[in-house]
Amino acid sequence: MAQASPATRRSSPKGRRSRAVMDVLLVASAALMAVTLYLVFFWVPTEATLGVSQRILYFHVPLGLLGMISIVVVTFASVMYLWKKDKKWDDLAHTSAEFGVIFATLIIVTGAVWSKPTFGVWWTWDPKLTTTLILWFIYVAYLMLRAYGPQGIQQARYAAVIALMGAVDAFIIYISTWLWRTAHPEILIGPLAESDSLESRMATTLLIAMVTFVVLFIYILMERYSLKRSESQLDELHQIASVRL
Amino acid sequence: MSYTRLPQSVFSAVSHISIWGRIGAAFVVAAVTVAVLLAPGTALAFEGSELVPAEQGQHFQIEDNTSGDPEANLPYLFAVFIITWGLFFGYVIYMTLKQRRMQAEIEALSAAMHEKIGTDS
Repeated sequence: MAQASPATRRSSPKGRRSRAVMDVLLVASAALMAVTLYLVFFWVPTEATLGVSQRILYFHVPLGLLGMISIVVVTFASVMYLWKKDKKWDDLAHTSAEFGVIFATLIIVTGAVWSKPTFGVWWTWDPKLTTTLILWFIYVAYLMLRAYGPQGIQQARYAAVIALMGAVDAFIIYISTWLWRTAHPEILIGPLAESDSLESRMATTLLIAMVTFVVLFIYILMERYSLKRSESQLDELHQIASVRL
Repeated sequence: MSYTRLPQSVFSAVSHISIWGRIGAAFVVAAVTVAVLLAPGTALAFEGSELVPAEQGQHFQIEDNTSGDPEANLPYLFAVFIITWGLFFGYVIYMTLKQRRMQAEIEALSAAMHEKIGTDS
């Protein structure tokens, strides 16, 4: 069955609907970001010991959440690809893995910048930090395989297996503060989080920051996925053209 | 065997193993890597567990903001803000450039096909 070209897909009713959803998400994320910045810089109280550097929390934790969401998406899409062998799942996994690298980089860098005024060091081989660094290496390997490995179905299969390795490591990262006694603060979100671990205004700001970053993430993921699908279809067109021209 | 052929030959060798075999091997490699990298930190954590209060961490102590100035660490907050948004905007620029390159490819392909149709007719 012939697939629609990128231009045809964009002008189809489904394509127009996706475009409208993306426009709404873009406006929503811009508005929410303005609210978040106001809350972070003007509303939330300053922590007594750490001073203003504690406000890094409102960037670092949402980025960590997005990193975890990226990994969940990569894992789900990779399992679906191994099961269904449908290229769209592979495209979704590849797209989300790019985000995985971006967010893992941001988590490590923002964590290091926060660690310096808090603990006096940029980096330590703490279990949570080490497992996060391992995750970063796994996803860099994933993108290197995509760029330099074998092409086609073989590449997609190897990439899916690497993504599953990343998922195992991501789970270890999440439970690391519970498994080992680490210097990293305790879990603030998810089933292992303790209630009342934050002052109410801090918790509200953190919640709104997480919602904002999630909306922004969904918007960028949809944009990138749409672009990735177009790239895949353009590759197919190239192959058809090379036979016919 | 040349350097550039090495990864391809590795991939070819692995392709003879079943998918479940590869998944199993990948999990074993991941588990061993994680264990080796975490071993020193775990050993240190257990070794020092009776000496250092848990709330202060194992390897370093929280530095109190003794200057009394709550804005003393403002440059760190500013650095995080700039790095986060810099990377986000960098990624958006990367996507835009990719879209432009794809648009140029579509136009080139379209022109080649029109030319072919014109020649055939």
